[in-house]
Amino acid sequence: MRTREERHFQIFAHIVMIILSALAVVPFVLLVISSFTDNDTLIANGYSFTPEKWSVYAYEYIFKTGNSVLHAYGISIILTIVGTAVALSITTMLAYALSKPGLPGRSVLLFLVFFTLLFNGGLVPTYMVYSITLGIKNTFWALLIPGLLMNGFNVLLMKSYFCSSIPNEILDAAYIDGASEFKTFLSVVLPLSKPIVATIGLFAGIAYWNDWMNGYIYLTKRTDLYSVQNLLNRMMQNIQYLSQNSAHIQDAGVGLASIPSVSVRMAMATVGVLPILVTYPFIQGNFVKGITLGGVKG
Amino acid sequence: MKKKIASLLLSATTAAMVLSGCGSAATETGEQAKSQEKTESADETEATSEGGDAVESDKAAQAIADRKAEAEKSGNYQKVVISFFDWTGRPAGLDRVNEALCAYTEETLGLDVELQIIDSAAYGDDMKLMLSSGEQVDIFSTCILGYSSSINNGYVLDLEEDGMFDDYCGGIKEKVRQDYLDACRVGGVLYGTPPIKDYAIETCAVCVGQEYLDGIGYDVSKLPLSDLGYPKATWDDINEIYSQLHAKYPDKYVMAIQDNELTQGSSVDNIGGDYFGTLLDPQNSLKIEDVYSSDIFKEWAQRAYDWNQAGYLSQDALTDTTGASAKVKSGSYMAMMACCKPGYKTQISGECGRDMVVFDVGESFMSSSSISSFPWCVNQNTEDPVATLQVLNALYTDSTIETLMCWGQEGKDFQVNSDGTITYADGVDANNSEYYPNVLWLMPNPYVTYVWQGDPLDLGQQISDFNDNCACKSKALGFTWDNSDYASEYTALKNAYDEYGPSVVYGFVEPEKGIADLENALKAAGLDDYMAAKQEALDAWAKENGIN
Amino acid sequence: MPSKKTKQKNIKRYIPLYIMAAPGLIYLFINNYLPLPGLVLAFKKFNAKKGIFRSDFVGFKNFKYLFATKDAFVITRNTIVYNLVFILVNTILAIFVAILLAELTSKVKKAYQSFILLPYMISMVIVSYLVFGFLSTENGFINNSILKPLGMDPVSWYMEKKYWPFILVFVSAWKGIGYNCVIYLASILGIDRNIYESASIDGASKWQQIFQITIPLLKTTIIMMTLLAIGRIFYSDFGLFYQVPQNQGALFSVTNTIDTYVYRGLLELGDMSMSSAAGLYQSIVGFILVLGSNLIVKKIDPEYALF
Repeated sequence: MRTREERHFQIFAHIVMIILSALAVVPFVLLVISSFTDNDTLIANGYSFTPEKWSVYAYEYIFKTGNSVLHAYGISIILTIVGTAVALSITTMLAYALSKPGLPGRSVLLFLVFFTLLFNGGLVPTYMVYSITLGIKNTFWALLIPGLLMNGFNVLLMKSYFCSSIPNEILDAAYIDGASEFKTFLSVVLPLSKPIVATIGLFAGIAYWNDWMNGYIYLTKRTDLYSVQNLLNRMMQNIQYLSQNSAHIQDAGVGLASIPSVSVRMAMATVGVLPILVTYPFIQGNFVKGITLGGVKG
Repeated sequence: MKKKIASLLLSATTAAMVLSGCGSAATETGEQAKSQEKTESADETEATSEGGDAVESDKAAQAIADRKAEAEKSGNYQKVVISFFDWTGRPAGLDRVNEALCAYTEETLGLDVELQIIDSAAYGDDMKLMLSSGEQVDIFSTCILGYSSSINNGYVLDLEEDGMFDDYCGGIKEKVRQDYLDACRVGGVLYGTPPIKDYAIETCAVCVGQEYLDGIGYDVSKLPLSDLGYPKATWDDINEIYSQLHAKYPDKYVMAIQDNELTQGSSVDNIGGDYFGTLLDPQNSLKIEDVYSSDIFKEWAQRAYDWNQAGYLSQDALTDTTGASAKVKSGSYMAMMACCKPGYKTQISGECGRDMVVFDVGESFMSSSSISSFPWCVNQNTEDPVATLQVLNALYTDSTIETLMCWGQEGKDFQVNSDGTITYADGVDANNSEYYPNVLWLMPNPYVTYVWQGDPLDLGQQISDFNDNCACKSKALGFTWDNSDYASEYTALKNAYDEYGPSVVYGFVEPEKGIADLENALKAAGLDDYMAAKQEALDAWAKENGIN
Repeated sequence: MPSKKTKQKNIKRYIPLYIMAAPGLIYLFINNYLPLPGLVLAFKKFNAKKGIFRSDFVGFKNFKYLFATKDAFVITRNTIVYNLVFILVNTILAIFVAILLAELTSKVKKAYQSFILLPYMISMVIVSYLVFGFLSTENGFINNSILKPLGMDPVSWYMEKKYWPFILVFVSAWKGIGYNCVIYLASILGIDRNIYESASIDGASKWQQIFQITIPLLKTTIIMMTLLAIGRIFYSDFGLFYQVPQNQGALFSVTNTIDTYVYRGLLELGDMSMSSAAGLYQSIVGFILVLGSNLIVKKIDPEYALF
């Protein structure tokens, strides 16, 4: 039974969400349209929803130049799936342990986790750990491990969810039933935590998909390990460098005229986001059922 | 200015050759070929390089023999890694080229050589990390990375340690004039060797689309030709052209103005790599002066302001970072400023997608940092400095190594034409080429190898003549300023400039007021201290080198 | 209070928990704590020959450039004030949107949620081009398609600093809302629906439910997020403050932050010790602030404290 008030609320909520969605989508549409706009038109007339001249040249350029974008997609997909899975497992387990109020040493551990949010050793020391000590430079591990596998923020977020949303009575009941800690975690806690697991999974997935830094730093020889974002970022920066230095670097003129310098970055952004856009509703629908169908009943 | 014309001519021709030498057929120009009628053959170039090898001392030969003996014993050759960048990343054929390189260097030098090519996007960061963390990189180009920041961070080896340079780099000393080597000294220490190229800064040119000039019926032939063969124009001529263009095509922007034009058309020496304290008359005086309070800058600011007021410039000029040639190509801009060199007309016409007329309005000049802008350096932690220096030497003298490095493998990447020049191998073109780094201008000595189709065969000799004959050198040539003790001031100055400078340079503020604001901010940021420190360092350097 | 006996039993009970925590802690150790000694770089003049630890000690010299400037006040003020506004605006917006999404019954909400996450997926560089598309003086939408038809004069957006505080706050909210609201959405969905049902039966209106049930129950998350944000109050999103305003000098007094100031100098200098010093300075201030705030929170209600 829905009251009048409820109906009003629904209408209000729809209106707000439509406005917000439009604010998000309109610039994105502009992005996609610019990527299909002729480069010269783009420079002459600026970004426009109704360009004078359309062109798919930017995409041709991306897909024809250098490394294979499709191969890079493959790397990105594997990386994102593996990364998200591992990230979720270790984050959830650590967060669960930290959520137990009675855990001896809990506040020290919490502090250690929190501390990593503020302080880091810097790029060079981190690089030395991974490259020299662990020797993972130019391997797939270098894309997977540094920086992304777990982050303190997600741990704290999840811990806070466990603390506030999982009733202690349920855990105690499981304990009294003789369930092991691990079993409780798997069969009681996780099902109750779908929303946060989905959220952290989403964050981790996006982080992996969007990351280009690791490839940038750790891949100097294995061009076959370039992820999509890494590949596109390199292309974009090379083009940028080339076009801005053409006056000083003499042979830069070679082929410069044929690079769609402005439309190509829009095309790159589109190429980078599109797969997520396409798969997100699917992931949302299946994996994240808990979060979209109105949450978990207690 | 007139005194420089002879050298200007020379600089121009050679510059063009350097450029087109690294370029593909797209930038080659018939003009160049016509203007340079030398007929030396590639063989001769190679012969010179053999000569270079011959000077090697006994010590060098001994070192090679020792390494070979060692390799025979262990079954492994030691490896020397050479790093530089290109525009598109690690070439697909690099492993193949490295293999060929090793096969050759094992014979000649008793070691393996590995080229490590990284794209321009990542080169600076990747190198910084590798050099800081002690990974193996033995020889590297400091382009992008920065020569002085490499020295500041302690990445580089003193090449003359224990007399190594004399013992093992005799070939370099033969190929690179002593004063050019000395130009790379910092604090008296030689940390790097310059790539062989033309060191002069290009002159300033205004390039206007031919169709627009035709549109206003401008008669280019009424202007005298400069020594470069381009119409020599004054700023008054340019202003006249601009105003006619604007009247005829009110819907188009007259000029695509871009950064780096601060002192174009003048020979102000941005000594030490920044404009905070410059030599206004670098040929005659070593006095550090503030360019922003000078008449040179005022004149520029006024010009840009007038253009802006007249509506010649886009109101987005400050924010739109698109390159000038791309703007002209788009059809909504008619002119741009650039550096001028012979053959440039073809290059810029290609870039702009239309015929361009190049008006020469500047002069040529070799600034203090022109030679030391990106020398080749040796990593301080290189395991075997002797071996590394011998490889460095070979990069300047050995045509086989340099050929592999610049062009890849004969038959696979390139083929030799009947006239001795080279071109893509059969079935290879710009799109599917597996090895074409396209960075000839940063290679140690691209003139011991082949020249690309369309270039004169004696390019190397011409470049070297041009450099030797250049008359317009800055007195401070070779002075390098270490500003690491003035990092606070530098950071503040850079921020102050970014805040007030560009709007003056692009003519968005009334010059009097804009320059006053800029001056105030720079003064507050410590310009005087910074300049005094620069002057002190320069004086010390001058004294040391007997320059006054 | 647990008795001694149960306490012992407890410790045994906790062993599996430590095992579960181990992978994460090991990772933190490798990823975050092993490189940490590198922070000494901030007090040294880095020299690759000597290595990080044997480079010469120079005391606080590397920090000098952060303070020895007349801009020090402006950049510090901008950094802090923007962050405070971001915390406030972004939190309120995120909660608001999260509540709407949670309460919406239609399936379209899935689409809404995807849409508002879109901006988060686009890098700041691209955002800066899009912003330019809207604000460009000659070709921008605002000038051409809104102000012109309304008969208003075009605005040189990149020259007028008075608009930029709003633009930056807007861009920050626009880009972050999808991400932030997911966090709160998860918390809301974790709330026991029975509470709402009984409240509804008691005759509480929708708004009453929101203000009296949802928001109080979000307090833990809100406080935690805010505390964490305070820890980063001396940091600023470089892309937002450098790329979005296109590094325009006329806007510096409202766009220059610690990160952008440092960047302009270090771009050329390439001095690692100095960048390390800047990072350490930002971290330490944030650390002190967050410790202080945490202490206050702890005093008021220990349950909400971070640790």
